[in-house]
Amino acid sequence: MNAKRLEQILAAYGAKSERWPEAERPDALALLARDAQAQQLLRDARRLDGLLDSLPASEPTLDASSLAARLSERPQETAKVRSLAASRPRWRIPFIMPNLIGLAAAAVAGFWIGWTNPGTDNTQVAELVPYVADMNGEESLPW
Amino acid sequence: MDPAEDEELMLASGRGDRAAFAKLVRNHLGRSNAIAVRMLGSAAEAEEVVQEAFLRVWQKAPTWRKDGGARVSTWLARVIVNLCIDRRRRARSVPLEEVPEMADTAPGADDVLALEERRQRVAAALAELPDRQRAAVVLSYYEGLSNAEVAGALEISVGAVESLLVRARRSLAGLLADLARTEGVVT
Repeated sequence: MNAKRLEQILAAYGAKSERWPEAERPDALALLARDAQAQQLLRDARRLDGLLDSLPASEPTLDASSLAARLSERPQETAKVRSLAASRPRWRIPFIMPNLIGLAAAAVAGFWIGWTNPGTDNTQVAELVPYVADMNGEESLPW
Repeated sequence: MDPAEDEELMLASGRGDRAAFAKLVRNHLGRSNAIAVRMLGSAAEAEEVVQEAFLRVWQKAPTWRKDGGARVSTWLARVIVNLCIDRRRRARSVPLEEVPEMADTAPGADDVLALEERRQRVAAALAELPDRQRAAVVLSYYEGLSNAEVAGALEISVGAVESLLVRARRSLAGLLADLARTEGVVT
């Protein structure tokens, strides 16, 4: 035990020796007994302890029995709920995957159709024309 | 507080034993409230935190595992500290007028006034500390938890507890230096 370590102990745990690390307590007390500078550090720590001790602990205003009765009406966490909650992130991936696969398949199919049918046959368009409503209403549809 | 009894009460609570849960609440209400009041500086806010913490005890009980690591008391202290830190982060203010009351033991009116002023200064100084430093002082100095228990509650190493305490007490000494000088030894 040296003065630096004693200073550290006082700075961390205060002046009451019962709060000090048990293994170091005897050496710390022995050093205090013979070292005037260490005794000054002890007085400083005691002053701060005194101030801290002036802050009281308040008694709880809650009644333990009624609090427990009220809270125990609430549902408890069950192992099943917990395991489902824990596995939620793993479930998200399979739900996303079909969407991604569908999107990719649609893109490939669209690309393939466009690539293999670069033009449109004009005769097919001509056949479709009578079935398109005339904008001025002068031409009736065939049905 | 007996750790073995706490474990049994927790396990019984997990089986839906409301009497066991009530005993667990009775055993831990005082300390839980004291931690929350000193962390928050407000008895009303502390009450809300304590209720939330014990609700979590009740909800957690069925999945509590014996020998699963933390003691019930350490786990509960961690829940309370974290709830207090969350609450303070949401509302960065400590109403000094709500510093807890204590039975009047001072002999005269002036002494009562001086004592009250001193309490408010100490509460304000504690409130100025960073969250973890304040929690370390509350758990170690005020509640007498061992370094291992403080480390468990704050989820830090045992070695880090001492340095956290040193920094906290040095800050407090600085913040309260004028009081310490003028009032001398106060015990």
